[in-house]
Parts: sequence; C-alpha cells; structure tokens
Amino acid sequence: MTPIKRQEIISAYVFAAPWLIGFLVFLAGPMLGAFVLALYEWNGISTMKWRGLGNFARAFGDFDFWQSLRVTSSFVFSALPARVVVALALALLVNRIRTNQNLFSTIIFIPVVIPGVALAILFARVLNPEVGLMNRFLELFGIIGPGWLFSPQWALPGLGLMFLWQSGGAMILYIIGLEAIPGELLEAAAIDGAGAWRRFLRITLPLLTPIILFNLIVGVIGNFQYFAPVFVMTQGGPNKATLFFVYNVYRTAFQYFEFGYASALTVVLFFLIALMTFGMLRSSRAWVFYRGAA
Amino acid sequence: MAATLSGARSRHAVGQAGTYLVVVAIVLAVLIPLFWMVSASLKTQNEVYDFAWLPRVPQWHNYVVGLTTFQFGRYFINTILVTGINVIAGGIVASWTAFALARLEFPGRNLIFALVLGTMMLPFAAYMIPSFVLFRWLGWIDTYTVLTVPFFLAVPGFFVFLIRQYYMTIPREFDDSAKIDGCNYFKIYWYLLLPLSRPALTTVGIYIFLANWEDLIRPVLFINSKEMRTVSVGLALLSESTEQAPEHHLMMAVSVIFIIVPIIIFLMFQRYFRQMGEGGLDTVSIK
Repeated sequence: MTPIKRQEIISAYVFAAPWLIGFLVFLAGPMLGAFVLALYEWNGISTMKWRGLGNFARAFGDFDFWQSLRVTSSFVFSALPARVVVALALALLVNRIRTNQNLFSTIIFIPVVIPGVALAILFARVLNPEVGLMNRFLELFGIIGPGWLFSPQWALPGLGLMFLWQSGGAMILYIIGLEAIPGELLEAAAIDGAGAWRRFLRITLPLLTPIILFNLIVGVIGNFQYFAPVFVMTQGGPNKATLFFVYNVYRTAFQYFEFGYASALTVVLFFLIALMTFGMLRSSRAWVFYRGAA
Repeated sequence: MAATLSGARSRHAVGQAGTYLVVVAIVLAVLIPLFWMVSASLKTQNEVYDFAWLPRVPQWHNYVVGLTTFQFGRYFINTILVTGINVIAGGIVASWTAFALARLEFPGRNLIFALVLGTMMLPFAAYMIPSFVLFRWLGWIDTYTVLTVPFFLAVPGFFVFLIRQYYMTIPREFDDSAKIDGCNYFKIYWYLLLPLSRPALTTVGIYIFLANWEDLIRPVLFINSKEMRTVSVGLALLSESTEQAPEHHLMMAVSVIFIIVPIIIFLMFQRYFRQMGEGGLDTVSIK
C-alpha cells in the first residue's frame, strides 16, 4: 500500500469515527439490546427473568397491543392518504395563482414548524366542544359539533384534522414537483386535444408519484412514532380510542415498568416498519414513474 | 372565433378568481387558530374560557408571569442550550462523515453509507427502552449530556446524506489542485468543502434546530428533575394538569413564545426549506 493511499484510509476513519462510535453505542447497541430485553421479564430494577418468546405470545393475546395497532393503522390508512390528497390539491391551487404565490405557500407552511406540544395545546382548545373554534365554525352551518377529544368516535378524527392542518410541508414538495414538469409536455398534450383532467391524470400525476411515495414512507414511519399529541391531549383515551403504538409502548415501559414486554413491542415495531417500507418500495415499481427510467 | 376566445378568457378569469378565493379561505384556516391563540394569551384567567375573539384589556404581563411562575425561564434556557449544542456539534459530525463518504476511498465505505441510509428508517421508539437503561447505567439521567451527546454523535443519517449529496456536486478538480499544492485531507475539508457547502450546512442546522426545539419523548424519558426540563416537557406536563391549575392564559403565553421562535427561523431561512424537500426526494430515488 502506498503511503498516500494509507493516509487516505486513516483520514477517512478519523472523519467517520465520531458518527461510527455514536452509531455503535447509541443506535446499534440499544437496538440489539431491545432484541435481548424482548426475551426477558424485567421491571427495570430487580433481576431479569428469561421468558423466551413468551412476551410475543403475550402480545398476541393482548387487547391493548391490538388496539394500538388498530388505532395507528386506521390513522395510516385514513389521515395519511387524506394528507397526500390535501397537499396535492393545495399545491395545484397555489400553483394556478398568478400573484402572491410565495406569500400564500409560506403561510400554509407555518403549521409545519410549530412544535408538537404547542400544536397539541392549541388544538385541544380549538377542538374544545363548548368554547372551541371548530364547533363555533360548524355552528355557522347549523351543525352541532361532536365532543371531539372527549368522544371515543371523534377523538381520532380530531387528531386527523390537526394532522391535515400540517399539510403544508408535503404541499411544498408537490409545488417543487409541479414546477419541474416541462411546460411543453402539457402544451403538446393540450394541442393533441387532451382536456385539463386528462392532462392531470396522464402527465402531472405520474410525474408526481415519486413525491407521493416519499410522503407515504415518511408518513408511515412518522405515524408509528406519533407521541406528543397523545401524551398532551388524550393520554390514549377516551376509552383507548387514541392509543397509538408508541404511546402504548411508553405506558407499558415507563408507567407499568414492564421493560421486557415493552421491548418485545418495539421489536414488533421494528419489523413492521421494515416490512412496510420494503413493501412500499417494492410496490413502487408498479406505480411510481421515474423520468428517464422508462 | 373571436367570441370563443373572449369566452375562454372570461371563463379563465372566473377560474382565477375562484382559485384565489379557495386559497384565501385556506390561508385563513391557518391564520385564525394562531390569531385566536395569541388573543387567548392576552386574556385574564376568567376570560380565557370564553370564546371571545379579543381580550377586553390585553394582559401583556401574562408573558412575564408565564416565564417566571413555572420556571419557564429556566426551561427556555435548557431548550436553547440543548438545541444550540446539537445544531453545532451535530452539524460538525454530519459534515465529517459526509466528507469521508463523498471524497475518500476506504474499505467499508459502502457499508457505512448503507448504515447512514438505513438509520433513516429506524425510529427512536424502536430502541428507546435499552437507551434508557444505558443512560441510567452511565449516570446520565437528568443531565444535559443525555440530551446532546447521543444525538450529535449518532446524528440522524438524513443529515449526513444531505451534506454528502451536496459535496458530490462540488467538482473534484478542486481537491486535486489543492492536493498538488500540498493540502492534506483535513485542509481540503476545512478550507475547501466546508466554506463551499454553506447552503447544505445551513439547511441541516435549521432542521436539527427544529427537531430539538420541539423534542418531547427524549426529555420525557431521560429527565426527572424540574430544573432540567425543556419547554416541551414543561408545557406538556402543565397542560395535563389543567384541571387543577387553571392558568390556561399563562400556558398560552408560554406557547406563543415557544412557537414564535421556529416561525421566525422559518421566515428568515425560507429558501433552505425547499432544498431540504429536494434532498428528501433524492433519498427515495436513490433506491
């Protein structure tokens, strides 16, 4: 090996060392630890008791575990696609406007940078059945608003509304995507007699599918980490209607002190996310259109 | 022909006006709750439970009282300290790793790059329990260390990736001529790539700021004492006990201060948010 080559390799490891150490100690280590803890019964203090796969068997018959999966996946399958649609619609609308485009998209983006806890506090007020903005607004149309966070049926839709209020981040991505579509392409289609709807379905939408995929992947991972709003607004209630996955894990570990069982749940989380990310990337071959790839 | 053209034009004008109206309605849907929150922060304790749009007399001292009564002054100092350390140290660690990945040939480079990408899919929740056990064993509970060192050393892979992508756009000929002039890799990093990659570093800095400013789960798990709480924890715990503590107006005042900081940062650095979005899209298409 030449001295120059050796110097390059040494330099590389010096530059990469801090992150590598951080990765090993604070990420890979604890992740492995979760796999080990998952096989034990442990309250965090006394000696650990070997349970083998017992914790996973227990999850199988645990109502709260299934409930947390139900809540999280119903959010993933409703609020997340709704956000994709809303964000796309917002982008199309803002894109059509001639003046003040930047001003409007800036304002619509603001909710995205609001800290989770403050957002939760704000929406707990907005959704308050008596004095909240939301039900006052519905009253204008003669609708008597529901109890939102106090109602087992309406708590989750309430959180969904808050989720949609933050669609601005995804909107910016779609605006970027729309601007990247060559105007000649749409003009050519128009000359060939394609109407606005057809141009959208056949040109605009396919060219935006990479962004939709990105939104979905980030969104699924995000929903499986949904914590602050539940912690502040509902604590999983009422009647476990908002018992999101991570909140259930948090409760199991740090309120009931079942470190082993809670770790088993995080192992399930690990595989669920890996599986879904893989699934989405895999399915993307069928529906995501990469320019230049076809 | 002329008739149809003007017809199309007026239809177009109607369409523009309609679109404009819808967008303005959406903008209002964003601004009204924020306005309502600011208004609530200026109300008295009795008024705050009324719907009223405006306080009878704006109670500006709510802001001072809010910061002093519940130690929120201290909480803000904690949040600022933790966020500041993580922005600077996290940015440095991310840019070092990115430099090795973008510019140096070494065995294991592809593996490290795969790890960087892989951690992007790994949520903190998946390893939070052993993390707690580790930090308790290290005696780090209730320290600034626990909120900073694990974050900036294992800085999220996305930030490494973003800076690496930026380095890749800087022509390698620059490095080569620097090398001929006798620069080693540390000099190339420090005098060449670092100054040239300022946009990417700023983007990463902003996002580390936002993530740490609002972080709740880490301080909830790793902080016990009142003095070490961050604003997120302080507000969250205060709001949970609203029944006993009817100081909703003060909580609103603190929330407004807490919200305004990231909004100002966002307005100042708007163009970088776009870059972040583009970087995010890059990660998907790399697969």
